Amino acid sequence: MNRRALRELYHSTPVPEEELSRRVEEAIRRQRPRPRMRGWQKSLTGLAACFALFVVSVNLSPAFAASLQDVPLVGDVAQLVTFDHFHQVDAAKDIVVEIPAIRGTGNTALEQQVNSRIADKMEALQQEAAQMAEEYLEAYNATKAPEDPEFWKVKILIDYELKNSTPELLSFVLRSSRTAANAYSQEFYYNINMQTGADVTLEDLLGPDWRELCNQAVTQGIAQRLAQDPNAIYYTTEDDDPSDDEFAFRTVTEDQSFYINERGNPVVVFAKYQIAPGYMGIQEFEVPRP
Amino acid sequence: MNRVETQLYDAFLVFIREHQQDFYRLAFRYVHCQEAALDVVQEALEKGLRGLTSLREPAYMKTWFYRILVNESLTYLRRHRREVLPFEEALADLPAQPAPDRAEALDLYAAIDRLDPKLKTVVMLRFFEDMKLAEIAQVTGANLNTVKSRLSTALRRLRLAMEEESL
Repeated sequence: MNRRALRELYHSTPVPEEELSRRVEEAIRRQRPRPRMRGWQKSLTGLAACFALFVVSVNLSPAFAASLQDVPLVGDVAQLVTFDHFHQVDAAKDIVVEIPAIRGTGNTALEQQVNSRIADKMEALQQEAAQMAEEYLEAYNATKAPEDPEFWKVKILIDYELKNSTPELLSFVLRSSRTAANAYSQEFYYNINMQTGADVTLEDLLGPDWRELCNQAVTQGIAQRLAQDPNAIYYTTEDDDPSDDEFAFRTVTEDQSFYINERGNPVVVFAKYQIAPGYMGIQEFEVPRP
Repeated sequence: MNRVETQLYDAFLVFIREHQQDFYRLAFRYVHCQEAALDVVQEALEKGLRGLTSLREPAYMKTWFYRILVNESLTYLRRHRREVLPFEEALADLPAQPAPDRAEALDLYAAIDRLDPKLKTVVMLRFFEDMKLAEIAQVTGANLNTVKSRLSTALRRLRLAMEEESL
């Protein structure tokens, strides 16, 4: 293949230089950074941040959680706290890991069972991320040219988020994000019956018609978002583009990802690219219980 | 903006003023129309400027912005499917009578233009923008193996297209 001729052709694409500069400057003018917030707006933000800090602290700091354990009504609900935390940097990656564990339920056997599930998954996610970073570094070295910039270490964050905790159930997500130019992340949802240790299913929450209820919520949710946002796009079999048909939403599956929100309703989750183009992000649909 | 944000903002302005022609050429190869390519570039720049805080590491600026640009081009194609010019018309911009050694390149170039958008993205970033596979993975959000396999599929199709051409 004659690469040089090919590249010359590409660079001979005519460019309307004046008009292009005008559009570039217009974009810059239209998106000028906004001026700083006024003083009172700042203090209000600070107040909101205090509340947020409280909510986050319960999850993050073991000491903080322990101090709350003595408060009545909080202690009999499972707390998800950071059990181990580390930050490691090597040639291929810069990785931060926050491993959670549950405590405070008064049921040690159950806690151990849940915590070992968490630990296994976190270990697997770490190995997977490390291997991916190595592959990136290898590919970089294999195609490296002398004038190339240094390898950008792959940034990895493996952490968790509590969704809901009641005496009956615990809902949380373990998340592995790889950040380079863009963020790529995987989420794994856990919904655990805190009486039995079993996984809570959509059928437990919604009854025998769970599939129909979920499908209805997703279909309605998609229609609503399309109506509200002219930029929204979901893969569909109803346009003239067959290339995305296989990704169009059809039905929730047996192993559908979901979490349980603060209202106790399941929220079904679709990963980035699963039912819509990547820029639409993770798609969530709350399914009200009947 | 704090000092770090101001530095990043200034660096981004330098980057876009310097590379605006590259952005335009890449967008044009998807949408095949001057007005549309200008729209795509402007929209991508505005998105980039609005979302600049999501760029943590100045070193990733290029792949970060190309991701926005490629997405914006693909979105345009999706929304305006019927209006996009057939590639033969778009090729009218090219030299009418190529020198003999360019003729083959021109065929290949036309074949690249005809690839499906996903394969075309990988080929253009690799050969026209000189990106590494790992960078292409970052731009497209696909993993490295997917990028490798898209590249080899694309090359296979191009080879087939060239063989047909010479028959």
